[in-house]
Amino acid sequence: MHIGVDSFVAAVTDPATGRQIGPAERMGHLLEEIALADQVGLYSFGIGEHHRPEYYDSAPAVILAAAAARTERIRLGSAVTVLSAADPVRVFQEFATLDLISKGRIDLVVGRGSFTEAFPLFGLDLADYDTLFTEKLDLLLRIRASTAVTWSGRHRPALRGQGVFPRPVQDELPIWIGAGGSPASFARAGALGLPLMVAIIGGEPRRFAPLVDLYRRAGAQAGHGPERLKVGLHVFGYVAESTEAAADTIYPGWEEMFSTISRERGSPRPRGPSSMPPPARTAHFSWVTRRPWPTRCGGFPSSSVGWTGCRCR
Amino acid sequence: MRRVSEQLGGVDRMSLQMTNPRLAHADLLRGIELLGTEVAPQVAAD
Repeated sequence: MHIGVDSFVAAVTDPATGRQIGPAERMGHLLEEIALADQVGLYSFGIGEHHRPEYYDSAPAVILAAAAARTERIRLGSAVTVLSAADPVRVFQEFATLDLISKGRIDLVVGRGSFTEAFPLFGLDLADYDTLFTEKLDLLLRIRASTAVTWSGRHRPALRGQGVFPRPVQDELPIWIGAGGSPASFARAGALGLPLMVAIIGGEPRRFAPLVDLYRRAGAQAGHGPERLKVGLHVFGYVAESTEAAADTIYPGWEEMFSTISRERGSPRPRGPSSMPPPARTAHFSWVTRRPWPTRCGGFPSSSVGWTGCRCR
Repeated sequence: MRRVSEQLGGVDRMSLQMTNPRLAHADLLRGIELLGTEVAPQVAAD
C-alpha cells in the first residue's frame, strides 16, 4: 500500500507565538513540505481546492507546477479538483502540462467537493450540482480518450472535432473519482471503471466498506477488471513520537476546523479532546507505528483503526 | 493502516491529510519525515 500526504494549505496561526503566518510564507512552507515528502520517499502529495479564506489552495494546478519543478520522484495530484465549477478542457490542458513538467507523475482526482463556495463564485446554480459534475466528467473522459473531441451538453458549449493539447507523458492520464459518501458517486465511479479516492472526513473507515463494495460490484457489472478498480483513502492523520503527542499537537487546529464546519452546517461542535467519542478520536488523530512498546506511552484503543502498539521516546 | 485496508477489501494507497491551522511548520515537517521514514516502510513490508 502506497502512503502519501494531502494538504489544503490551511492558514496557520503559530501555536507558540499566536502570530498568523502570512500567505506567502505559508506557501513557502508548503513547498518545503512537498520537497521533504519527496526526499523521504513518500508516494504522493495531493493539493485540495477550496474557495474560502482559511485555505490557500484555490489554484491547485499552479501549486502543483511549483511542486513538480522541485521534486523528482513523488507523485503529485489534486485532492480534489472541483470539476463542476471548472472547464474540462482547461483542466485537462493544465494537468497534461503538469504531467510534462513532472515527467509523468500526475494524478487528476476530480470530485464535487465538500464545500459549495465555487458555485456562486463562478456563477453556477446549486440546483445543477449533480448534472454539472456528470456532464463535465463525461467531457473530461472524452478529451482523455482522444485529442480531437466531438461532444455536446447543457452546461458548456459544444466541441466539434477541436483538439485539446498538449497530451500527457503518461499513456493515460490517471483520473480518479473523489467520493465522500453518496452511494451514487461510488456506483458511478465503478460503472465508469475509474479508480476511487474515498474521503474519510468523519467516522470510522470500516463504515465505508459497503460503499467500496458497491463500487467494486458496479465495476464488475460494467465489465471492468479489478486492476482498474483501485481504491485510495484520504484520511485525517498525523504522526508523532507517541499517541499522546500526536493528539495533543493536532487537537487545537482540528477543533478549529470542525467547529467552523459544524457552525455552518448546524451540527454540534467539538467540546474538547476528552468529549470526543473514542472511535472518531482514534480514526482522526493517531497513526503510530506497530512496534510493541511498553504501556507507559498509553495509546488509544486499537479497535477503531487497528493499531496494536505505539512507539514512545 | 493494514487493518483498514483489510476492512475495505484492499486499499492501493492512503493519503494522510495533515492540514491543520494550528500546527507549527516544524511539527508538520517532523510528521512528514516520520511518515516517510518510519510508517511507510513498515506498511510496505507486508
